Amino acid sequence: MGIQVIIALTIFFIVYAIMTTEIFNKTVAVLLGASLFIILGIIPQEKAFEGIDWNVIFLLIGMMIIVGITKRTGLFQYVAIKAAKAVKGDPIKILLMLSVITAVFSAFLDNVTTVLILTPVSILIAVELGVSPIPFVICEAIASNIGGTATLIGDPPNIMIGSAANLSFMDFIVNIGPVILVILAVFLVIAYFIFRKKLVVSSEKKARIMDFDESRSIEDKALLIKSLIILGMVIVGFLFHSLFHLEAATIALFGASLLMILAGKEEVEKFFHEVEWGTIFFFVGLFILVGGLVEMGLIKKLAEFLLSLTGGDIKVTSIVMIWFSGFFSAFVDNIPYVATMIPLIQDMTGQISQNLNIPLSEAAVEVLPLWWSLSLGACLGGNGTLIGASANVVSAGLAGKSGYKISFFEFTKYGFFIMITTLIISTGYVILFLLK
Amino acid sequence: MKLSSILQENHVKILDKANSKNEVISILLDSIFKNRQIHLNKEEVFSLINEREKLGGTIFENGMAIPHARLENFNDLFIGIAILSNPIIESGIPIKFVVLSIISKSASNTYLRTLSAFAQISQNKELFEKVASSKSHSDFFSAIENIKIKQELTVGDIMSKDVLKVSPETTLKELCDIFYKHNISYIPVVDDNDDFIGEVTITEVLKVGIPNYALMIGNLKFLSSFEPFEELLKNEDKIKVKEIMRKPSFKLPENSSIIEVALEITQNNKRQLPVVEGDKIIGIVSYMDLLKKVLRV
Repeated sequence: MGIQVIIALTIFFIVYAIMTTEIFNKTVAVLLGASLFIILGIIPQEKAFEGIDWNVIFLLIGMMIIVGITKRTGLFQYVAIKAAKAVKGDPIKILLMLSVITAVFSAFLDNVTTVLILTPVSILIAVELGVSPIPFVICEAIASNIGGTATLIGDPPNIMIGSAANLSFMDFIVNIGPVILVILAVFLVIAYFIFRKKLVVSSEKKARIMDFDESRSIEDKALLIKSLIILGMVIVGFLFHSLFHLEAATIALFGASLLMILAGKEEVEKFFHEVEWGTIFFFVGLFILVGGLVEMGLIKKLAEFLLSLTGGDIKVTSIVMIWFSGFFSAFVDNIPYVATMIPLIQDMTGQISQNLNIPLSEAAVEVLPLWWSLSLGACLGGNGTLIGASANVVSAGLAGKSGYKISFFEFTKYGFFIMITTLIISTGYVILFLLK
Repeated sequence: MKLSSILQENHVKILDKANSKNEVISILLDSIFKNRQIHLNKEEVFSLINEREKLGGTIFENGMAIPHARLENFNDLFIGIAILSNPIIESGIPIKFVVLSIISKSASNTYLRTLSAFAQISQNKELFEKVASSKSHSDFFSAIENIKIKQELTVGDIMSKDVLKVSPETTLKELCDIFYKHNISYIPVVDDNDDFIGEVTITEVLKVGIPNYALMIGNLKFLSSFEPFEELLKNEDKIKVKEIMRKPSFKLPENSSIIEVALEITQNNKRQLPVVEGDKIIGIVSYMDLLKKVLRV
């Protein structure tokens, strides 16, 4: 191993350690690592910048703007309260309803955004009911990780996978959607049996919920209608984007621009504040770091090593991929993990094409189950521990600030069990339906 | 610049018997109009002065009155001074010393600084007595010999110096009582050494009453009944200032310019700013000080 390779690996692991322990801001850590890569000549700047997947960046920016504007309308609170009233204020039913709503929203919005909107309302509902909000907070975090797995835009790993493997929104719905429905149903049943005894309240408390007037949570009706039209258009656009030969990022940017014109009473500057620039630059830095590892030939070596371990068997590799990704993502941010795995699978595709002597396009079809396994493992693994996914950390933080502390163990005892269950279901699904 | 440099000897009157404030104003205007060109006539200026007098705030407890008028299309500063050997009673206050000013409507910088010099005189009891009992022009000018007009008005000139303070251990109940009793909304927090370590406003107190999750929802209109202060009232004996105080985000030294204050207040939506000397707080300047002591002097 050359000295440069050792330096690259050292920087990469230090950045990884900082990201996991959050000694300081992870975006800054990644950008620092990325600039060091360029300064030390591990990757030339031109190549580094080429490695940034702009499809991912612009899809994120577009969705952040659309969701940022829509959430001001009060729509999401409206839906949550409406649901609580639809089940007549019965806490266990509210818990299940809110979990389903969280999962559905998460499929289309960022998971963190979803819990940021729904967790406060849920805590309020629980407090009004006189029950502990903690089951609500935990279930919603888990539901958001499950729901986010279902679509291309639901969770950042999927955005990256979709862009790298050229998989469309529809591909995700068709291939991942069914198993997520099953997983969500199983999760709801488990949640029901775990929490139903803890969530019993008097009719008087239920009446407090029925007293809510959800129509008053709508802040701006005109903006709501505009947002719904654009959101609808964008989702339809996503469903058919590959038919039009358009990338999802284009659809999102187009929708965001239109909505900014329609909502334009305020300054456009404000809409751009909805973009979480920290997250955006986190991705930029990651792409450069991983680009550096590819440049050093490290990813190629790792791919060769993994293929030799599994004998090049796609089935075995897929199952290993699900479980390794799951456990790894339970402790480490799944975004950098997936960013690292993407070139690995791409390299494997090339090696398989050589080994089996088939064209690259056929090899790409062969390795499809690997991509789905990566997505399922990385996204569902986030449930494994309290630190497994940003949604968990954010919602536990919200609960803590409101006086309901959720310890690492408290979350993990439910989350880990759910993770194992969902990974088992995923494995069965991949073996039965995705591997030929 | 010395205060005496801006004053004209023939605009300083020592009056033995004046019957009313209006008479004094009239005498001073006469002397100003005799020497100076003003595009308005005396009656017009007189009525402008009277309009301003009706707003109040031009008479100080120690016996100084500062009637003044701001003129459009006027770019100068005329000051007339009357020393009343026999005070006239106005609003229950015996007035001994009158400073009448005719000022430009827009540029008031020199005026403010001059006024601040007169304020120095009136705050110094001994000096004020000496000035107010001047028997001649030379008495008067020698009394104010050492008074200087500062180049720029500073925070020290407009801040309030009677600073109430609380300790980090003060309870919310005591804090609310102080806010209520003194009709204030901001108070600095000092430690046992009297070092300035934090600040609290009513906003921080109100935040205790609203749970974090409710703050996050933002819009609570859908609730028909919600008692935000239940929790606060129940626990106000237990919650201490140190739990809710914030770090002072901005501290001004006494010689900061007024624009610094105005900038901080408008940019960061503040109402009060602490004025410090080292670790100690020596005053508070509020946006009301800017209104009362700069915009409507």
